[in-house]
Amino acid sequence: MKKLYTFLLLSIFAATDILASGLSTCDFNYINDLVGGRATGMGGAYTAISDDPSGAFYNPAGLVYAIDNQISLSVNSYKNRKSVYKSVIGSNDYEQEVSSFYPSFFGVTQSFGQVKIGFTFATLNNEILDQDSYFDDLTLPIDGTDAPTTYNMNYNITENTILAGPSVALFATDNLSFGLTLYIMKKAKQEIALQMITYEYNGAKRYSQDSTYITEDVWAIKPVLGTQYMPNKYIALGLSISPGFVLSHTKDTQLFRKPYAGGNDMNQTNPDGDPLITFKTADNDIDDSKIPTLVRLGAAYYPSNKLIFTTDIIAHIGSQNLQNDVENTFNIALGTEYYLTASFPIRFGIFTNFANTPNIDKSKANQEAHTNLLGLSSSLSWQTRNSSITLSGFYQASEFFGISPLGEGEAQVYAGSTTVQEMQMTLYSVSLTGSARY
Amino acid sequence: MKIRLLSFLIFFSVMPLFAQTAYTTSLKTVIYSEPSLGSEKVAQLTQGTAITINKTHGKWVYISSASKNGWIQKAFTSTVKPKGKVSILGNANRTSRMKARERASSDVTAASARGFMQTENSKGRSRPNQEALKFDPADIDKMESVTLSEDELITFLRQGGLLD
Amino acid sequence: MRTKQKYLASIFFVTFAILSCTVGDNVRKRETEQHQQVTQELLYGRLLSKEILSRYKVYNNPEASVYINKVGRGVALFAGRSELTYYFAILDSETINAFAAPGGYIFITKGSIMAMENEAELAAVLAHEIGHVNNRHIMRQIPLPKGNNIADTIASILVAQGTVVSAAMNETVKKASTLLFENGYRIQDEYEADQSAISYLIETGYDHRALIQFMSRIESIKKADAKLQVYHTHPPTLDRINMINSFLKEQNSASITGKLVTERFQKFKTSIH
Repeated sequence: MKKLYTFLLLSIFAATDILASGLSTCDFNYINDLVGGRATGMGGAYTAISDDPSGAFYNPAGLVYAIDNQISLSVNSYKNRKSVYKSVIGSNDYEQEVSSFYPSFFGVTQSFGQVKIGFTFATLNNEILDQDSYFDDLTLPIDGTDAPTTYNMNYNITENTILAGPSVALFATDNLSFGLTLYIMKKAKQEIALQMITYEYNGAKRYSQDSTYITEDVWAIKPVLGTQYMPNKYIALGLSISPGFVLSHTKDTQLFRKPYAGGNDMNQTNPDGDPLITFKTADNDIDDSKIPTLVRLGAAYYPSNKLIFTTDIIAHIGSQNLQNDVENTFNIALGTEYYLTASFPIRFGIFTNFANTPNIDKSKANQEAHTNLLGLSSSLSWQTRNSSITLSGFYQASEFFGISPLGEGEAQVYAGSTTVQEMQMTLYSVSLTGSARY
Repeated sequence: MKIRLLSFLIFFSVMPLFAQTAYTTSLKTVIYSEPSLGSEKVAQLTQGTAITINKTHGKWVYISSASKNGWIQKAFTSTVKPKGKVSILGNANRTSRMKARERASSDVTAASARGFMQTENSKGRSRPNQEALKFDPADIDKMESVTLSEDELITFLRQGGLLD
Repeated sequence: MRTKQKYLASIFFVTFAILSCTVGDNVRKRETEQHQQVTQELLYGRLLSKEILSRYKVYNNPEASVYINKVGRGVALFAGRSELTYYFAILDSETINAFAAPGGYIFITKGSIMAMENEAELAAVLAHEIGHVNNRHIMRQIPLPKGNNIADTIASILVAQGTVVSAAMNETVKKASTLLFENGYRIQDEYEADQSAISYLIETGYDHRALIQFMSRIESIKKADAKLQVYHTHPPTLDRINMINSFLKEQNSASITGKLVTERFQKFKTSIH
């Protein structure tokens, strides 16, 4: 109970701090989603392949190898992320689950003479968190007595990041190609948090209320410049670089806080002279917002028309991801595709999704969660010359059968406290893609 | 008289444009005295020789060329001057890399893919999808990769005592 | 009089100028048309070849492949249609059969070669197949689907180096398969191919009698071994031989001689045993 008390008190006084440090950790790992049904099946190791519309995202230089004109649609994707903070409320875990159902990809490629043109739309992240917590059997120690307390929290976050833009690719020589995708990136995030605590004291029923509303919008340009080299018909090498340039980043906040001691007079102060009731609004243009640069280096081996082996190294270089301080992050992915029959390819992939936050320093407080994920992916297609349907999915987790292959996840749930809690996360997605060649 | 001469000139300058101009297409085309393979050989024309077709008799045409006149087989003529080979294969280097990207499904038609679920009902033909499985694009690539120059072919024919 | 002469002269020049311009344009137009037609033929033939290669395995022997291409392309030099490159392949099958697809893709079984005695017979069979190609028998009997499909298909081939095939084209190729493997060509077309073969053999210098000799031998093999699979899609051999003989008689060419070329053929035949 003591822990809960601490948690609640701290949350009363520092609600926005809790929100800022983010129990929601989707920003703390870069690879929240994989684009394209075929690429997903191969762990996202697609930089040396990229020969279908989803290639516009990984390495547009691969589009020159897209055979005929193609269209690809993934309009049914389901994603689920679950974060478990161990032993946070007493010995109980605190769980947060986010899921959404959304269109994840649309793309076309078309030949124009010797050049390939494309247009693609990808949803990089789409999460809706809707969490209600209600506890009515709590007590708060006030002036030596145990006051019966109810705690009510409604927490909603919606976040959506999309990329959309045209691509162009061409051969420079017979075995070297270049490509460029000009993506506009839009990120929209809304957080609404309402906290309501009621308690009984001296025969009166008092309440304390907190509401926060944050809306954040980011517009950025995220070009992808890529090249692919095929020294012979068995091997392909790919390199793509995607820097981000933030065009505008606005964050509008509205905060209302009325602790139990406050009445209806907004000029009331506490013994130290600070106002008891807080009502703040702010419309901020954030000037120095940055997005890390994404560098992908890949190789693929084509031993026959039935088999592919591929690997990618994925680097996010940059110390700032919008308003978060991040570190350079390196990930690796491996994938394979095998045609069981001429119409049934299956794919498998394995990839890392390291946290972009620094390791938690046990002497400091208010640090961001740090959880590394290992991902497994697969896809299966029913394929003919001109069309295909693909079912793809991935499963990322910080722990498999009790073993954390990339280290245990850690978080600091309590604002202002240096204690560290163990965190587990699972992130999985299933997608259905339809493609056609024409 | 002069009018006659001029009309004559006009008529004859225009005439050739209405008679059929053609070209020989075989490496060497034999002109015969009659429309028959057994008749006397008049001359041999090299590839691309311009000829005028004056009349037709079955599969033969009576032609006049710069050197000789006579009968040749219509199959060995063309109204288009021989220019070179027509190909759909494209650039070999680039094509081989593009082909490497094609997966095994490239030759599966929707019909044969459906055949996977159904059984062919008559004539005991093998199911189409199995045929698609058997096809290896490397086979047709190998077939198309054999290159022989005209000189090599002529040497080969000579070695067999075939060209005179 | 001078004015009149000048007048007529100017008519002469104008007429000539106009007509030669039109003729010039016509030439270019014909060249493009021919190019387009041949490209369509090649597409058709390549697709049909894939069907053939789905039913028969290729006999993989690079040297044998070169030899058969030399013989086949050598004959083709004298068969007209200089714009085509002919491709020859040996199919790994004991049956006696040969197939030709539009555009110059020609296949002959190993079994056929084993039943031959000399290069002239090989040239004869290949010449017969070239005859089917050059006379466009498949194209005429099962024509390409009409309409925009073909223009788009050709455009995408030339532009994207892909193999877009419309449903209509698929149907066409399937029908052509049935022709090759089940129904056979029209009888007239078989006779025409035989006659073309004779012409090509004579022009190249092979002994044209090799064609009839090979056909007769196959006939006796068939009678001796009923189980042996011989091309069942051709008209009866006797009829073919009779037609050829009438043709030779009409052409006064029964007595034309030519080479058989046995030695290097026997070496080739041994190498593929």
